[in-house]
Amino acid sequence: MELKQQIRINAPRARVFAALNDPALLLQAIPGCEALTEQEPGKFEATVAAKVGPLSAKFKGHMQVEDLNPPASYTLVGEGKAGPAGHAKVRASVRLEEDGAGTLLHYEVKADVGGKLGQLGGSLIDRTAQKLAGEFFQRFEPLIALDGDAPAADTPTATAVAAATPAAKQTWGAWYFMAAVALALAAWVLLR
Amino acid sequence: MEQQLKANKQWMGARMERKEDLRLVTGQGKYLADIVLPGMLHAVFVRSEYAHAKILGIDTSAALELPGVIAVLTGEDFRTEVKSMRQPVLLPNLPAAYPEYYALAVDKVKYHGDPVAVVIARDKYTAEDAAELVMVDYEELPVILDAEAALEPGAPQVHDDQPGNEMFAMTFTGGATEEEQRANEAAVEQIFKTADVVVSNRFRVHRTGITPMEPRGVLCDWTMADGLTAWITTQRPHIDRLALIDILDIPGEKVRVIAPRDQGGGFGVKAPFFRENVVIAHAARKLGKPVRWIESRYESLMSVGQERDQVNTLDVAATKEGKLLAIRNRGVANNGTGQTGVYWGFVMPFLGQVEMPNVYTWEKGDIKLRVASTNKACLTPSRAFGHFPTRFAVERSIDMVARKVGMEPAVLRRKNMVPQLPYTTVTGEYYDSGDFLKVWDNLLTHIDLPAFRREQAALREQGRYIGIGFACGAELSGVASELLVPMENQPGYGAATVRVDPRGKVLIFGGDAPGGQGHETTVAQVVASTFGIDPKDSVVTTGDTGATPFGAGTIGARAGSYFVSAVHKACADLKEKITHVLAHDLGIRATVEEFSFINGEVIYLRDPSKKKPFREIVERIIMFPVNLPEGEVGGLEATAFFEAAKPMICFNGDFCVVEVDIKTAEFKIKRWVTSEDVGNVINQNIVDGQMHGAIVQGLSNAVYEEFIYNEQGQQLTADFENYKLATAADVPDIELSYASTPCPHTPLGTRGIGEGRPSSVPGALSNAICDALAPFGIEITELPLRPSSLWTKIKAAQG
Amino acid sequence: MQTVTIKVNGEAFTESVPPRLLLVDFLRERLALTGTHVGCTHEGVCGACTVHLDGDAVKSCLMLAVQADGHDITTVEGLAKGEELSALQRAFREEHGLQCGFCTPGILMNMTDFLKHNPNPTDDEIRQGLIGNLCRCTGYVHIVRAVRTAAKMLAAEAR
Repeated sequence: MELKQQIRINAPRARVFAALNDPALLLQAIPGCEALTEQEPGKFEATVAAKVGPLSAKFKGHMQVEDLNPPASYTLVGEGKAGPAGHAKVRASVRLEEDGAGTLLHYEVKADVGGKLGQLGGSLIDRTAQKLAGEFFQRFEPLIALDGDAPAADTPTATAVAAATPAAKQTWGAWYFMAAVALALAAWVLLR
Repeated sequence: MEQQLKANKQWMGARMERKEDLRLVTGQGKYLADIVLPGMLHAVFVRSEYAHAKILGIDTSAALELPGVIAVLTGEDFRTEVKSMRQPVLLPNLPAAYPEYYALAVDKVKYHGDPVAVVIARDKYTAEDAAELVMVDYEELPVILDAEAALEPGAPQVHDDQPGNEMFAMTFTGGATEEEQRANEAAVEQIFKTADVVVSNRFRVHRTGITPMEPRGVLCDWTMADGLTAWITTQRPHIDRLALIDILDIPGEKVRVIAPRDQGGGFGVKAPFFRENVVIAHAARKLGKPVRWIESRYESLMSVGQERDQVNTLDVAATKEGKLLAIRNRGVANNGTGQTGVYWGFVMPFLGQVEMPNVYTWEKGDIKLRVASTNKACLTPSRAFGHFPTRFAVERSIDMVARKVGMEPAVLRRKNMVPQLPYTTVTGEYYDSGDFLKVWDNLLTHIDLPAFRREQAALREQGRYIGIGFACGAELSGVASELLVPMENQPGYGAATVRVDPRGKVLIFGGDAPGGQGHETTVAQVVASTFGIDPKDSVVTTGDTGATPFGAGTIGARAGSYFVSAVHKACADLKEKITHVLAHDLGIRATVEEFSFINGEVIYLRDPSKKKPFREIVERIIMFPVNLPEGEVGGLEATAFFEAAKPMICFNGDFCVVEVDIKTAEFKIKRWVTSEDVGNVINQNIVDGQMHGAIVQGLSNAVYEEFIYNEQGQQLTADFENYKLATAADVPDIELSYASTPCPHTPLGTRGIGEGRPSSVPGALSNAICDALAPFGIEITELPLRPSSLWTKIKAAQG
Repeated sequence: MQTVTIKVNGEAFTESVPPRLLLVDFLRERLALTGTHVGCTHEGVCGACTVHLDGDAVKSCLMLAVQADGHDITTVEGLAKGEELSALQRAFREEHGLQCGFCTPGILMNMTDFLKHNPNPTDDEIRQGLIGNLCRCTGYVHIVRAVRTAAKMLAAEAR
């Protein structure tokens, strides 16, 4: 699956880059994240759980940052397993471009989807990934507008990620795409 | 005598309603999934989601915790507790690099769908849930999918014990020694150098096969006292039994294999011996409870029914008068993992190369094959066993030669067709009997070629493109031991036990298990015509190793050729005895030829007043065996074996008329006509049905079906939405015709038919399309035949 | 678990079923009516599982048993009246419209419904009507003939 899009975000580039690096903010954009542990600097393991009807699915994934170049670009490489539904390998390149008062965010995601997820047909995966990416940004933009700083200390998720190092925090963007794609498709498969 | 012949013809050749049909149209058939045993457990397999990976570990704890789950077995259980699948009984007598493997994957998975574990639970739904909870930890390995690339140095290795990924290689021409073969190659090269006409092409045929409507299944019952009873969807229960004995190390007296009376098609897919048989048997033995596995369509499309997948680089040399001189082929077959017993995938391409010369007289041939292991599912036999791609290649090449020399392809074929049999081809294949020219001439009576050509020219003026395409071939008609022993390490003879009961009913037992061919009916017709009784008075039992004589299986059209011949022999033996006793009772001296078995009576022909009802004489012999002639003992049961000295064939020809819309590149079949030599016919309906079915299977394979693997070796066509079978709306009506020659080697003159029949289809269809598009100079060398690829060719030709 | 009452071939059955039990499994496993077959992994493409829901042909692998609660199901076992076979059943025997028989029950159920709405079909219409049933053995030729013959039989019986 290949996904290439650009989206305009109504916020300055530095702020967008910082937000994409802010695990606490991104955590709010990604539903169902249960755990995040840093294996090594720049390498993360995450578990995202989802309940689809009466069925639960758990996605475990690893991500790592490459080619970090703030505030302009970075690449994320990762893989995730969605249990019996299959697995996916993702490579996402993110590039931020100043656009007046706002930012043009270019992203290019390449994913190899395998197992039952992969057998659903490439076009379905492409369309679903596009839809989910759109939903992510719909949640992401207002969150930037609301709060550019770290969330309140009593937010449950904040503690889990407080220890994350700056370099590693950028994993969230593309990890969400992948998890959301895998989630939606696993749901489709499980409900068949 | 006349009377007897007339009476026999009443059942032979008849369009009798099948005996199987009453139970099948009322839903009373008993297929494997319909068999239940008390306390039966259900098995679901966990299969690899990677095409090539190391198995680092399998965590079964979550699965085992689910209520209702009894056990989860993995490859380690099989590596330590059961022998490997590579046992002599399952190995052909052909030199190949047979890889070691177990019933479940150990250490590595080698194709997307490789079975890794099995869950046994109290009900199927629980087993499915638990299968999803089995966590397998994989480490991906590089994947190799293309056969030619697999044979290159440096390619990822599929099997550690098969360096170079070469499963099998053979030269089929020239002689047994390398020296002879090289001399032959040089001689063939010389012909090509000096020939007037040479056509050379790379023919690619995709991965496809003949998946039956009923997927596989295994039900095993194990008790300490009686051992193993295994119901398997199989075409060869007697062979399966031997494999279970050897692999599971169970004494033979404690193993019984039963092919259910009703099977939803086989077509070769149910002819190998599969790992799942061992897994389920072992599970039943371990748990002491019956265990049943019913294959899902998803599993079926992942693991079986994949065949063809060959590249044939074929050169044909001819004179400018259209005389074929030499045929040279380099075949490369994509075997997948090769891990399926009896055939190991490669036996199919092996036979495909043997059949490459087809029905033409070649001066010389140079035919070689290499079979490569890849990370795809192992090839499973599919009707038109191995020669679907080779027949396509040679029939397309014939048309190209015809176009080059300016001859009608039908005429060129006839000019080069083997004129007289028996005949041995350049690959050593033996054609025993038949009259090819008679069949071909009959085919040509169904089309006025000159008129067609005029119509074609006129329509071209209007921008409409019609074409006609021909193809023909000789198919195996039963497989003699001479061929089956080397090919599959199994005997070819047919066997039947015929038992007459005191009420005049006849019970026939055969070891080969059918899957819809109507053996119960054809055999009953043979018995009826032999004994002069009604077919309804016969009962045929097949497929139970505890109750039937040994047979290698329902493969290669063995029924019409071998099985019914054995039935006839056994009946003939019993007729001898019956007439011997009757003559004695009548106080006359007479031989069996002097009696007629007709209309339920046994009549002395010289004095028709001397007769006895069949029912009475048989009762007398079985129940009241006193005052018998000297040397006779009571009872009426005989077992007979039939073997033909040499393999037998049957010949068929096809043409189809097609119209191609050059704007959309869609093609429509306007007519499909066949001409067949089927020997003497037992049931005309059944023969017709076999032909229809085979041709539609050929069309479905050539046009619609395709197993697709992506670059990561993920199989993307594991359901019927993606793997498309032809529906009734996709295929035409079929016109059948016959020009048969009775087979001189079988007692009834019957031939086994239907096995190889699909293989002429892609040649005939693509020849028709190329004929329609001749003004554009388009030559088709690849399957599947899709409007999309055709459109590209048309556009390119239009410039 | 849910309690359902389903009439099958005229007989009412009250059973306790898990909500996710497929109708085809209910018929085959609970009621031992194994004439309805499963030929695909519930894609609903092969048609071997076709039954009637209140007289209309439906694919029972695509339905849950609980969805049939309060409804009338007819399976292939319910086509004949005692020993008297339906016109389609007789026609299929006459015209050799089956070989392995695995797809046959689904085709009989589909075509029974089809002929009710289309009593005088052309061959093309029959072929279109058969799109929901896959057959591997026959090549469809004799199936089409059998449906045509059945249509004639039904027309004659109506007169």
